Amino acid sequence: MKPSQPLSVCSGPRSPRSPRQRPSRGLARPDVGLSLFRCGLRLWIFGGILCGCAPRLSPEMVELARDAGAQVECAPLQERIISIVDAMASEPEDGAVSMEWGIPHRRLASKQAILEALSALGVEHRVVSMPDRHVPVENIVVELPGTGAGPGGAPASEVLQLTAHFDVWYTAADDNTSGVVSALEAIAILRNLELSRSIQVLFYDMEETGIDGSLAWWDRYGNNQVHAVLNLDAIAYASDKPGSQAAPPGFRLPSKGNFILGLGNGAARHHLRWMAELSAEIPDSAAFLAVYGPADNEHPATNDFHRSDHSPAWSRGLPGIFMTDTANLRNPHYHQPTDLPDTLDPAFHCGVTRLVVGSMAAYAEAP
Amino acid sequence: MSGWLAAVVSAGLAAAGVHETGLGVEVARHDGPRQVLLGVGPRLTHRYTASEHTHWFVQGSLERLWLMVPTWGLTAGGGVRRMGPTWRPLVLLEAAAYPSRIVKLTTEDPTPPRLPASSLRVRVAPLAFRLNGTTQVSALEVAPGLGLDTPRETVAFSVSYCSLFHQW
Repeated sequence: MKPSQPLSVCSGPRSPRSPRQRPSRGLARPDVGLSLFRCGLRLWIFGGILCGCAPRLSPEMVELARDAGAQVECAPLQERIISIVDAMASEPEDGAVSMEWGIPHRRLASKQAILEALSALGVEHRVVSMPDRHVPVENIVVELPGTGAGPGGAPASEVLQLTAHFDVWYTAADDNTSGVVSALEAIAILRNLELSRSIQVLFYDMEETGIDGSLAWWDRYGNNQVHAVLNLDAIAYASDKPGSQAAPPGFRLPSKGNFILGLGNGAARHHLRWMAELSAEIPDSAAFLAVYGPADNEHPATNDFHRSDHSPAWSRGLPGIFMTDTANLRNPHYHQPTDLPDTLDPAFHCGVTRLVVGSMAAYAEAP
Repeated sequence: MSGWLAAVVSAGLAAAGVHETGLGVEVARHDGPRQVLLGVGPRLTHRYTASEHTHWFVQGSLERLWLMVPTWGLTAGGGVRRMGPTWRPLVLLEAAAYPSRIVKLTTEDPTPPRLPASSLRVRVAPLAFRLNGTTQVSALEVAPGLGLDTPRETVAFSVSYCSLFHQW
């Protein structure tokens, strides 16, 4: 992530900047350059302290996010969830995986549904098989190349990752067919926008066995040019009933489980702030709660924050956000045969998808 | 040279009043709508009293806590204590600040808090005893308080166990 620039951000939103406007190096005399560097460093440090400010999204980026989020169509989301769950229900119970817990673990029908949806969209995709892992995985990858020419002027070589796992216990509508469907909707919208950063959508295999799909991916490809990771895992269950939301030990959450939680590491603090701001800007967005610690959340009271596919990014110090309805802390159907489409809140899911799509568009241009 | 320095420092401290330094175990909690912290770790305290016969004192502490996030804690305050021959309970008002904490942002309030997790606490040490001329022990100290970020909703407290003080 680029450092903040207090002179511009403290006085207001940053103006759009193209790569050609960057000052060239080596033109100033060395001593003058050093003085300027020191001066800039002081301004950056003291400006940051005094203003307490962080890089901000420009009005163009907010507008982009608003427009992108508004393109989400609600009705097809729930229809697609029902379609995938129905397909999984007809899948042989053991699928291709033998699970030590003896719980029906399905992945083939969901994978096939994703591949068919991508083909219908006309989006190039590939299946990356890693059969040599102790748990063999087959991740699905979609690449949406950036242009470097959007309002933020971020380089196209930087990659934003949107991830969702497609393997499930039973026929899990919330965990994680909801995330898969939102990621497919994001592809359908984001591919038509000329965004600066490249976007990589990863449908991970074998998350429920211990995030094997994402670990395999990161082990093979590393963190080359990854700007940030947004991971969707169980994002469609909501309840307005007081007391419907539980919290992990040591934390307090609102009593009503009607918000989407964005868990982040310290590196993702700006992204979480932007998402919180965008949740008020994007029409019909879901209410958002961001929670983040100063570093990687690998401490006794926060280890549970690592329970999904964003964890490898956190472990590498990269900005990562875990979007979730908090699963078992809210949803009584979590990892149960009753996790079915009619238990979900379609309006809430649509609001979350709007926020995800809008935020991805903004992140593709963000400082 | 070091002997001279130690002598000068000791003389200065003796002339300036009574100094006590203690080490104990601290459990601290700051639970608000925007900042959360729960931690346990060592607490180093230095206390100053103008003279052996003065009830009033000031003290500062440095804590290092782990559990939710690793953080330093700084407290400063002043209070009064009973200067009995053995039983020396005390009560003080202290301000505490923890720079590292879990932050929460919402749609309604998306701006991160600028100040550390800060609170104002009343520390009560009812089980403080003088063991001999230079050693004191405080078995249990309880410090309930209110957060300074959003006082109406933030609960803050700390508990110290087994603090052992040496008087200089």
